[in-house]
Amino acid sequence: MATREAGKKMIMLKSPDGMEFEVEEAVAMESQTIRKMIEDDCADTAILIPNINSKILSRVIEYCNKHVPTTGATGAAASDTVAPAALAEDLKIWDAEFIKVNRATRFNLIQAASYLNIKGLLDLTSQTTIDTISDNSLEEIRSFLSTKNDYLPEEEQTIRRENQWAFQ
Amino acid sequence: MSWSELPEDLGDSILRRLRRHDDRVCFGAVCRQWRSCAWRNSPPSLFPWLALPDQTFYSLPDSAFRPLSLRLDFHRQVPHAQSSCGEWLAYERIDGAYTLVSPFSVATTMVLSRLSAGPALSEPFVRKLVVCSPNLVVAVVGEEGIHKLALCRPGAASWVVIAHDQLRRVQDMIFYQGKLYILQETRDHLLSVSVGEDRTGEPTVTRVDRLMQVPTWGYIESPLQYLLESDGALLMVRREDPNTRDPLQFLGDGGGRLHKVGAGLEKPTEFTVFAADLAGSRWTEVSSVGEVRVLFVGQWCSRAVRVPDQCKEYVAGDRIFFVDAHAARGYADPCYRKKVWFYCSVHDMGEPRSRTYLRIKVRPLKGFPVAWLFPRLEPVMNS
Repeated sequence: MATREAGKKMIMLKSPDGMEFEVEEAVAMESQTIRKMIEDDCADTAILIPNINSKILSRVIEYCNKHVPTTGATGAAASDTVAPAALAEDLKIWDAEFIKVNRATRFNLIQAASYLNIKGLLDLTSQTTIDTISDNSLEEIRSFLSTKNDYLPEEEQTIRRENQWAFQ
Repeated sequence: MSWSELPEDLGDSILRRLRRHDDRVCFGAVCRQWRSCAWRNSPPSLFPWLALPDQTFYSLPDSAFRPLSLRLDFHRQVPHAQSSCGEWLAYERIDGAYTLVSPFSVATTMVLSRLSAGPALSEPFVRKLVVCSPNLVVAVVGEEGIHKLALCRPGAASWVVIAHDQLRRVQDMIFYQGKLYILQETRDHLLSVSVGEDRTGEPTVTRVDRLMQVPTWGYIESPLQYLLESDGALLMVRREDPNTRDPLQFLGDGGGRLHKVGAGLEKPTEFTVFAADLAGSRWTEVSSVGEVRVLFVGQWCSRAVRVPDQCKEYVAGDRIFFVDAHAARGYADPCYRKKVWFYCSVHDMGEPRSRTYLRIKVRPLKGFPVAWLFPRLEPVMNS
């Protein structure tokens, strides 16, 4: 484990596949779900994060680590030497790299962001999906997201007829 | 786990981030689970679309107007002008003919011939269209101060402009319970107009009846008045804009003066609603149109809409949605091609006061007034 800085409280996060991650409390509290657990004193030893495997959890922690200083959660930890605008620009580039993952991973990340209630990560991960929906035809959306079309042919026809304006 | 089995809260969160109404409809069409999510968040409603003078459209699916990415030009030549007569968009084509298109199904439903100038009509300009039946369309035509009636059979070669003395300065008309009713700008009676055929089979006005006197108005010389049907009743909505008292400001270029768009919002626009008692020949002022009913008023089309159960948390009843008077009449030439503010406001009949609901900058096109466009309730598929 990384060396701890004095005075920083650490939290242990456990994934269902048995991996443990020690993170700073401030980083963990980027997640509103975990924040609530900590504030309710339900986090004495380790917090088990259900449904999120170690691969995804490590990525989520990576995201929180990167984003924690700029949120002001740690106050003085925010860099004094870098201008805020440059910092934001740097984060944007970092985010863009971070989200270059395959479809399955992205879906898992969205789920994790949703469960852990991390707004920034949810915004970031949903945006690709939103772009997919905004920029593509219905067939393309289904194919890009590999969703199963479970409408009967006549139902599909009705939907298209009723809302033809939306499918042009 | 796949996108087909989107957890509820996740679906909601993605849907909330979709800004455009058509993207939301698309979202709902992907699969059954997504559809139930879309319906939970913004169910189909009878609220109208708003056609703005820059050829953009807004819908009101829930708490706010959302833009639509409609591209309606592809199937026709570029329209010269556009407005709405209820469920149809009325396009004036370059050749002068009118096509009525339902954007909901994107089908041309009617073609009306070109309105030509003649002895009865110096300016062939359509101000309002009412589709009475698949066989009869009635229009208010002509320049300010004239506003005659014209009749047309869809598909016929020409319009019949009515020269009837009583049928001038038509302010609004409505096809209500199988009959045509007319309000005039300065006269004080509601008229009922019967349309029949002459010997050659052309449509013509066979009878005009003066029904009842319109209640007198206050300090505004000639207020705007709209006719509409609400829950079976014939209503007249009178609108008084204190800031646009000078009628010159309405007259197109207003003698070169620029009208301050949105000025009507500085002082509240006042509304009075009357219900017609046709049997008793009188108007009764009403203070409520129903807790679950809202009115959308405009020169081209006014209607009452029941607030769908799912929308009650966003839109309360007893409200009147209106657009600023200038936009409603079409932007004047000096505004043409300039960006101007457009306002849609809602008036609370209970308080009474108005607040802005949509404020947006538009670059108005000439001949494209603001209009409401009302969807028809299609048989709803169970999801």
